[in-house]
Amino acid sequence: MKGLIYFSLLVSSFAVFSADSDFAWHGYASQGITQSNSSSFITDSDAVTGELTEIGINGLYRLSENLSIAGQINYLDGGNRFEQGARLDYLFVDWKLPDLGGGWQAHIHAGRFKNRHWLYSVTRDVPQTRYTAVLPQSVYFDGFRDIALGSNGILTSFTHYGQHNIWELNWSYGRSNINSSQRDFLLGEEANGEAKQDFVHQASVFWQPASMAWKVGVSWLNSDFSYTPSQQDNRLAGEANVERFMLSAQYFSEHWEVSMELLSEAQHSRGLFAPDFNDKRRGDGGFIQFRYLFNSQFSGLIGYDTYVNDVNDRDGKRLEQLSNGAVPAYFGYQDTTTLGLRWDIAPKWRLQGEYHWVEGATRVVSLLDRNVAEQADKNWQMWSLQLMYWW
Amino acid sequence: MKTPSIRPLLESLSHISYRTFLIVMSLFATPSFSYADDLKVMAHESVSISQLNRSELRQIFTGHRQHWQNGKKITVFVLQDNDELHKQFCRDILQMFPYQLSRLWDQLTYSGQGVTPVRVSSYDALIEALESTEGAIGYGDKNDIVKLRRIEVEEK
Repeated sequence: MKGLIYFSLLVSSFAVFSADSDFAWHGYASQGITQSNSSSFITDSDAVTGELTEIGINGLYRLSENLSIAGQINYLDGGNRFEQGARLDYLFVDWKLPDLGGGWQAHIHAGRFKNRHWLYSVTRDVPQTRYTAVLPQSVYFDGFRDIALGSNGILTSFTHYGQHNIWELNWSYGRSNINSSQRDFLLGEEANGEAKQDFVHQASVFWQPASMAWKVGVSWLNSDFSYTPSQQDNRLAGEANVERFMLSAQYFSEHWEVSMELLSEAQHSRGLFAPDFNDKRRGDGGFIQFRYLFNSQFSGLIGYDTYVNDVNDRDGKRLEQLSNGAVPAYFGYQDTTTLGLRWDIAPKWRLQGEYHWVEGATRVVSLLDRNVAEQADKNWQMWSLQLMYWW
Repeated sequence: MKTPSIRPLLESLSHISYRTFLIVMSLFATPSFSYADDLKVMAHESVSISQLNRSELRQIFTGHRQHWQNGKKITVFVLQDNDELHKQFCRDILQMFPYQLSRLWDQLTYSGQGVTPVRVSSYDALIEALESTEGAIGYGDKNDIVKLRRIEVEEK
C-alpha cells in the first residue's frame, strides 16, 4: 500500500491544476527522524528511528455549484504512537445549501468526514498545518487518533458572516471502526473480541471577529462503545460512555500567535472486567502554545500540556495502591513542556524540529498493559526533526 | 522640615504603568493598516460587480465563497506567501496576516472543504491569469491594469 501511495504521489505530481477545471488535486509528503528516550511512547529501547512518515493525496470534484465530492487517502507511520499503514482519511459528499439569508451559509457532509470541532482535528494528519509532529496529548491523544480524526456519518456546518462577527456552528453524528490496537489500549492485550463505537455525537460553536484575529469556541462530544467477547476471552461483554467538554481559543498577531484548549472528559465503564464492574472517572487537562515569528522564514514555539487521568487521584497514588504497585503513580498524569523551531526553506518546503520534556506517563501506554511499569520512567523526553513538502 | 513628596514617584510609576498598558494593549489590538493607494483588488472583465465590502472580500479570499452571484465560479489568484506585494495585499486590503491566510487555505485544502487560491510565481503571471480566466479575482497595481475590472472595497 505504501508503494501504491508513492506511485499515486508521483503521478499526481505531474498533474497540472487548471483554474477552469472542476477537479483540484493536492497532497503532502513528509519524512522525519524521531526518538522517545526512557519511554516507549514512540520508539522501543530509546532507538532513533525514521518512523515518522506522513504522505497523503486528496482530490475534490465539483459536480455543480452546490455539490462536490472530496476524498483523501494517506499513509502514516508514527512509531508506537498509532497503527502504521494506509487509511481512507475522508470521503464525503459536500452539499452547500442555498443561502439561508441574514448572512448564513450551510454545508452538509455525508460519508466519512473530518472532525471539525477542535482546533487541529480537521487537519491533524497534515504535517504543515501543525505546530509540532506530536500534538498535545491531553486533547489529541494518539492512542485514540483514528477514532477522534473523523466519523462515518453526517456533519452539518452553519456559518454566519457579519460585518463585525463570524459565527460557526457544527453538529455531527456518526461512528468509526475500532482497530485491534485501539481495542487493546481500552481493554488490554487479553481482549480477543470485537470493540465497537456505537455512535459519536459532537457539536461545537466558534466565534471570530471579522478580522479573524481571534477564534474562541466550545465543543461537546458524547460517544458510546460496546464490547462483544469472543468464545475464548478474558473479557466480558460490556459498554462504556465518554463525554468530553472543551474550550478552545486562538489569537493571531503579526509576529506571534497563541492557541489553547482545555478539556474535561468523563468516562463510565460497565461490565468488561467483571459482571458487577462499574467505574466512573473524570480526567481533565489542556495545553497552551505560543509561537513567535522571527521573520517570514523562521519561527519558534514554546508549549505546555497537562493531563490527569482521574481528577480524584491527581498524583496517581490511589492508582498505584489499587494495582498493588504494578502501575506506578506517575502513570496517573502527564505534563509536557515543548520547544520547537520551524524553518520555511522555500515555498511549500519546511523543516520542523521539536523537543519535549515529559513528567508522567498516562498517555504512553494502556494502564492495562502487562508490563506497564517498564514502558516509561517518571521523567522522559522525545524529539523529532521532520522535512515536509506539500502541493 | 518639608515632607518629601511621593508625587513625582507616583507620576513616574503611573507613566511606566500607562506605557506598559499601551504596549500590552497594542499586542492585542486588531491590526490597523494604511492603504497603499496603487494596490487594488482586480477581477476578470467578465465579473459584473465593481464593489465588495471587506467581509465579502475575506469570504472570497479565504475560500468560503466560491461563486459569484450569477453562479459563475470564482477563481482566486495570488502571489507566493513571501512576495512583498502579497504581504501588502493581506495587510492593507484584507487586513489579515499572510500566515493566517495560509493556515485557513491549508485547512480547506486538506479537509475537503473547498478549493483554495491558485498561487502564481510572478506578478506578470498573476496579471496574465487574471486577464485570461473568466471569474478570476486577485490584485494588482492600478497603474498597470488596462484590461481588468477594478473592484473597490467598502470600509463598512
